[in-house]
Amino acid sequence: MTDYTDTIRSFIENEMAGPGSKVTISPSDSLIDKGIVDSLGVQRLIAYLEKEFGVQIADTEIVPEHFETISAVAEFINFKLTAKG
Amino acid sequence: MDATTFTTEQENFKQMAIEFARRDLNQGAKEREKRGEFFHEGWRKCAEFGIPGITMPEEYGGLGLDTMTAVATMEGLGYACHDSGLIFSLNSHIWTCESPINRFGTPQQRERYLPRLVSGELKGGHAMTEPEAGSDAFSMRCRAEKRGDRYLLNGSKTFITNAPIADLLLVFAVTDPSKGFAGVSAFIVEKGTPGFSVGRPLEMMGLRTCPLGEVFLEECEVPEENRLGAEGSGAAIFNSEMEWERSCLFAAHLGAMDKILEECVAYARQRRQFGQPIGKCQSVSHKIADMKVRIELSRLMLHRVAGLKSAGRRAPLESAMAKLFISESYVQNATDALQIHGAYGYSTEFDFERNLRDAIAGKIYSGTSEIQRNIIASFLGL
Repeated sequence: MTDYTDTIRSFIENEMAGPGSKVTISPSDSLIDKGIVDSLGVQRLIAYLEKEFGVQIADTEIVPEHFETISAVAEFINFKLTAKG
Repeated sequence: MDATTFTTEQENFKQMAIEFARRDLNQGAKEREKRGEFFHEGWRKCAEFGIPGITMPEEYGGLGLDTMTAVATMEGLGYACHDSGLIFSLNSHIWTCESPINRFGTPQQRERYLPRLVSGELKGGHAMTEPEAGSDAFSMRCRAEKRGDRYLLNGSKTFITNAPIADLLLVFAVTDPSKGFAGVSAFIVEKGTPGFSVGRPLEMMGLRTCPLGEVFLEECEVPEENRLGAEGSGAAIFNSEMEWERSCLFAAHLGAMDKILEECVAYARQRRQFGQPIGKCQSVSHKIADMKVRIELSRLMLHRVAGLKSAGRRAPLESAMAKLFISESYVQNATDALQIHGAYGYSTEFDFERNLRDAIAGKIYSGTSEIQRNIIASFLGL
């Protein structure tokens, strides 16, 4: 099983944490509590994940436990890739 | 009308919708608009025609057709139907109640509600906006507290499309205040549920035949089985609803713009001033040329989004861009049409001023133009 944490963290830190910001986010930080992922941001994150990893994320899978932290996102992507085979 | 990207079957649906609207929906539309009166008989006829069920599964009484056919039908209705409020009401019913129940509902929820939503026996809508939470929708105050196998809903909603006539509403409420947008959940609330009430109808500038109202929830008990989707999936449901609505409802605007253009061209060829048809004056012909460009760009954007949705693809950016461009084009085209017709355009005898009033609403509902620009900017990393 590949660990995609760094790939996802790089996108979130560089693209979602605010243009030009140099924040560091740990895999267990709450993206929602830190205001990094909001209702618009989650759509952008999903679009990125679908394109980057070639997976299709159903609307019903867009639940907080899949997007709460970078670790949760990485785990979810691993699950999707495994299911895809 | 011009060739489109529709298949023959989709084009046939559009033509049937045009004939249906002319035959069954337009009589008395002007008077109803003045009175702000909902057309119940028109709703029934639309249901008979199959409009609420176009994309719904056949097992629930729907036609099971694709998104592009829904778009073609809405274009036809927008072109021929003078009762824009009825079209708006139907679209709210379809995209903000029926469609999310189909996509997020349990088999029991789908079985319980979809057949009667598809047949038009039940009218639906959703309740998101609050007095203090409009564009900042997820700052809502409406709470849903879990009590055993039930939720207690408390709060108020405003500018709720179809509220005065709705049999059920999809109500969004906060289940976990610590999680912001991720703490919002959706509930199917039926009319008659104790603690659920609807305020007086709100009078608006346009779309006057579409009932709008306030909703009050006071210790409103909703069983757990009426929660739509998982706890915390309210944002996903709402975003999905908006994406579908932006992808399909605005087809009616495209149809209306086609009709307005035809009327402007005919008038510019027939109306003579200074010894020549006014269409020979560039001040008029250039306005009409720009109207045509906006329509064709709108068509390209809308059909691209509908194509993505038909293919089961996500289109948050594309639907935001299409919604923004089409709604603003409709306002501009309606404004220009009114100007071209001069005093006749400004007169309430004709439909140009009504078109403009209806068009302005499109820049506000389903996310304002400013929110669409926020979405676009967000996707650009800004």
